[in-house]
Amino acid sequence: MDEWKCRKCGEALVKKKTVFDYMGRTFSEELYKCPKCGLVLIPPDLAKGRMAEVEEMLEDK
Amino acid sequence: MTSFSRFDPDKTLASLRAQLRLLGERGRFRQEVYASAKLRSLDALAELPFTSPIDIIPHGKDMLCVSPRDVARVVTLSSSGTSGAAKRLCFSRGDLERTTAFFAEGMGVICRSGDLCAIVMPDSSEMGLTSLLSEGLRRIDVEAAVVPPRGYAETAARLRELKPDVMVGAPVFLRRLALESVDIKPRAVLVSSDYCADSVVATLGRVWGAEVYTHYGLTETGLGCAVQCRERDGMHIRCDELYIEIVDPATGTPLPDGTPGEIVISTLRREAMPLIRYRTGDIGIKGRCRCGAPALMKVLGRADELSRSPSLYELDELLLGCDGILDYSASRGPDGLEVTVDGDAEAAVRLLPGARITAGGTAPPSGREKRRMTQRDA
Repeated sequence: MDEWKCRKCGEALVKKKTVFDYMGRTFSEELYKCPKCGLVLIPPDLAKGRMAEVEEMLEDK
Repeated sequence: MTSFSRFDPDKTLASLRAQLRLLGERGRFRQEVYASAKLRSLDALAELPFTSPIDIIPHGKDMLCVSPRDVARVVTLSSSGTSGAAKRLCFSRGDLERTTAFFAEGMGVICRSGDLCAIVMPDSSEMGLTSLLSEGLRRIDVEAAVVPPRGYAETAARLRELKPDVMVGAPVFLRRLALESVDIKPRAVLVSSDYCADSVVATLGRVWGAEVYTHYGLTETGLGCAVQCRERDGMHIRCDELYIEIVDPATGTPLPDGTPGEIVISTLRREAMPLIRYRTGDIGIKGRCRCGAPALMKVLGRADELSRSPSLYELDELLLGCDGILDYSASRGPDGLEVTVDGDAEAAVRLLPGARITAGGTAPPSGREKRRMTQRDA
């Protein structure tokens, strides 16, 4: 697996449990995060997959 | 007359121009078309292209006129049947505030200070329909209780505890509730759906002795669009927020008041996602309420469903006009019409000779009605 680096800080990203908070509900995933500035890498398949499913469920009128 | 009912053509034209400027400067959908639109008059709006649900599905992001951080609420509307094809509509705090203000003013016609209003709908998440409606009611000194529909007996039991003065909910669900729980008797009921049969309004009024008011609204209209006043004639249009055209669904030609056609809406003050000439797919008639306010006199139903015979709406009027029929579901297939009746199946046989009628339960209530008929092809 290639190492991911934070563009701002130059630090190598590390895997960390990340909690998402949206519309009063939370869910968590282990994601690559910059240990210095906290920037999180959200892979496209997560954004288009589980995150999109959760959003759709919560975004009912 | 409520402030939202007053139609000012000059203000409406100015607002439309401002929406077009916003779309031209901040949006990325049809930017050049909207930026160069002159809009000399309200009639000139008809020269601009329509916006359809199929535009919002792929281009919703491009229609955004605010930064994503200024989007206070997204509403996702999944298209039935098509996986992955969802409309996402965005609203700013200002957009939601104006919806709340409309709810307060509209409900102020129906409610009295100190009333308890039961909102018989699924509880929404943050800044959703039930939250905004509850806040609107609070502003007019009405206590709101959200009663998510669970099953008719359980919902009725909760309502007996609450003894609401006013109820808000979907028409067919409330009708069945009324028929099975005559004693609840709110003073007034507001029914809100994309379609409400006259027979349903009549039954609610008769069984509960309630004043029944109708409301038409879609997520695209900012939830609220048009609601009856005390005259209970036409549904007053939210003239400060929406401009409504009625057009021929086949040709797009604007139609005069009194002629049924497709309801096309243009927003006047939307911040996050202004819509110009959005085709709702619903057929309605524009006119004036007895009190003089511009109104939607009737919403007849979805254009695609109205083109079929019998339409779901004809079935609603016919079957739901019979108290013994609590609910039904129907499908059209190669062998004709098939109807499953919850309640008096024999009555349905008399009302619909030629249809295949079976007795059976209908789907559990969700309290959220999108009346649809299943179409089965050979």
